[in-house]
Amino acid sequence: MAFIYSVICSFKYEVHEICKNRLYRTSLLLLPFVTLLFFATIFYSGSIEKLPIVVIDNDHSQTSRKLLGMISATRSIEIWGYTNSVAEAEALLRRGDVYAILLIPEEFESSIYGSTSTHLECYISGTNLSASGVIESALQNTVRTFAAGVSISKLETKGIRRHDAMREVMPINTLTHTISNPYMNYGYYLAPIFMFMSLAIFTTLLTVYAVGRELYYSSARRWLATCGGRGVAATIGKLLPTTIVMILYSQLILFILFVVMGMECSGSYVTLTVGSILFIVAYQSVALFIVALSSNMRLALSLGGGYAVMAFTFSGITFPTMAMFDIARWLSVLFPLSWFSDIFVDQAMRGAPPQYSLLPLAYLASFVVLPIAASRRLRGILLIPKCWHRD
Amino acid sequence: MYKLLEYIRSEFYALFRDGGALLLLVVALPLYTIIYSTAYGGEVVHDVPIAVVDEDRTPSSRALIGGLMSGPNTLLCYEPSNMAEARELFYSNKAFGIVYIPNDFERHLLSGSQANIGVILDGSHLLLYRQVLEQVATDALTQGAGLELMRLTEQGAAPQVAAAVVEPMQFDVHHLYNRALGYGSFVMPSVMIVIVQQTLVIGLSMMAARRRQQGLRIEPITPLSILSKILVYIFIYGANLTILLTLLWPAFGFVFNAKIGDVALFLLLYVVASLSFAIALSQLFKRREAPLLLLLWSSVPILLLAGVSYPREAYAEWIYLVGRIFPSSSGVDGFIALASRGATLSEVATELATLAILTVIYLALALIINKSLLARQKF
Repeated sequence: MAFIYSVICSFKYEVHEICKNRLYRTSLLLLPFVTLLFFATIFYSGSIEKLPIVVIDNDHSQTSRKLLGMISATRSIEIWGYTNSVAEAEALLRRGDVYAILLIPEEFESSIYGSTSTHLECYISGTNLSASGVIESALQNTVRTFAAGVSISKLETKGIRRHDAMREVMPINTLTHTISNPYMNYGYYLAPIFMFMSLAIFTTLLTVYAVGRELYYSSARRWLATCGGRGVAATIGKLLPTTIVMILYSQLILFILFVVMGMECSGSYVTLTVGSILFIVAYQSVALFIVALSSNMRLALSLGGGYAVMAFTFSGITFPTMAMFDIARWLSVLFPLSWFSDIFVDQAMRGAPPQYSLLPLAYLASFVVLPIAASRRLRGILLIPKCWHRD
Repeated sequence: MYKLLEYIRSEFYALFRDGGALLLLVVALPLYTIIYSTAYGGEVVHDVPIAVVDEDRTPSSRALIGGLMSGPNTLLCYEPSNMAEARELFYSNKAFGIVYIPNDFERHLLSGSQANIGVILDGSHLLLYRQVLEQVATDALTQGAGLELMRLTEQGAAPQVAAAVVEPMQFDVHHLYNRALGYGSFVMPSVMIVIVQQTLVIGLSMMAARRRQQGLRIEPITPLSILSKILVYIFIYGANLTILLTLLWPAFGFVFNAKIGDVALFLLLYVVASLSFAIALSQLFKRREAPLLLLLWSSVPILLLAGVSYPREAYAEWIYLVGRIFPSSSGVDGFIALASRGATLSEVATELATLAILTVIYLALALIINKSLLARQKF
């Protein structure tokens, strides 16, 4: 009972600190909100559309125009312009005005309807993989459809009925079924990781700040005195406001994703929520550990911030963990974001049964061991004046 | 001249006395770039594990599976006996795609009707999704084309004519600049450029806040003090960037197609623009802890605004324009054009002009803020 009372006292103390400290208030309440608003705005549409390409049409025939009409009718590609000069097209590509050059050769039409086959060349800039991937698959699909149309009309001229010609052209039909994100929405794919990444940064920095501030401003004794000198209870009470606010923000993220952006939660919302709570607690645990280790608020903020920012790369969302070097794969387990993104993908996108998320949940929970291991040291540095006001 | 040297000396002195700033301004750029490169150094995703459920078990289905096995994108790792087992492999992240061949596959093919195959893909990971889809679609088309060719020649068509019917046009895709489509070559230039700006802004802000917290007088900004800062940070960032581009880039095989002189000139202007931005912002902080708490989070949105993970066509024009107020946005565009795509300086004129304008604006802003701070400090 006395323990709970101490937690409440420390909690009140911290709430009071938040109210009177503008920096604390801004970074706890305002900035995360602004960040989430930014990501919600930028990822709202989620589809990558109208990527510009330039066309060199050396044929100027009805057939080439028909193909180009089909290409510009796709959602992903916009024909930025036409040119006759390869040098000019290359300059556009180098400058980044367009992502690709499509080259239609001379005698395109006559070869297609004659008895020879022809080439269609596409030069795609490989320096923006998000854009080039979208352009390449849109062009491949359009050209395949166009070519199939040509084959069918050729077979029709040989007296084969349209229905049979279709079978002839495509003896094997591939029916794709995409589990999770069937419309290939980039927003659904990127927004969660960017939003939770920002939450990780704020959680880490604010936790370091909450405890580190007592060291920096030599007020640790006053703080501990308000809750009867119980170190563990005082720490829990102190971190609780950040925990609560961040949990509310994680719920806001889920609201933005599932309600505002219309993403479907195909798995267990409860597992996802439990995961997000453990995710926040895990980052707080690491932050506490860093403060204990460094016994210096400023250094702990730099280290904590550096650690939190790094997680994005290792989470495996943009670049899959399986393709990383072994050392990077091992490093990725050190970041709660990696485990949380596993849970998120499984529960929100793939609709996996909750038992597949038990292991990552357990890993997230295990981060709590860090501050427990460092608790003696933490108590020590809070009480020794020589650890105070280090810069 | 003597005064300039004095300024430079005191800037170095302040920097080396401040462990936190030193960490950010000198160590962070190479350290982060190396750590990120390690993660992205694998470059290309290939051999994505997939599973095949073959309910047909005929020579035709085996031929299709043979095609899947030979491809570079996917690696056939599992042949579960039914879809329930396949689903288990999928959910436990062992297989990232499932190909399903129904038991009437060969019968349909031989009878001349269309045979279906099913592919189950995972859209939660776009890189893996694309690799699997591309491989399966190509294999199905190749095998289908082979069958059609056979049928047409059996019907008496000349091979060349039959080929023109089956494949009236070949579509050849060439990837320029980053030919292997390496992920590191795609991401690392932008990451490095954004780190330059962010470390300058946060580092300088921490140094300025420290002075104010120690109760030292506000330093007036003069042309000489600006010049000294420029020289000091050009030296530090120049050395770091040179080391990264000459040692790290080749070590990881990242693409570099630039003329050294052009890149050096561009980076020079970029560092100066970022520094002006940093000088202006740094005067706003009174407390040492504030810059990290208030600025670090912005690194993620700023990287996003540079248009890497998410091309600019995907969001509203006004967001893109707002993003241009950060030197990093033009910095990333110009650096990638020059260093990766081999553009000339005149081809990045827009970025150069933007950076020059931003430099002037931020320096003017720095002077205005400085004047008002000095005016308030009347004692």
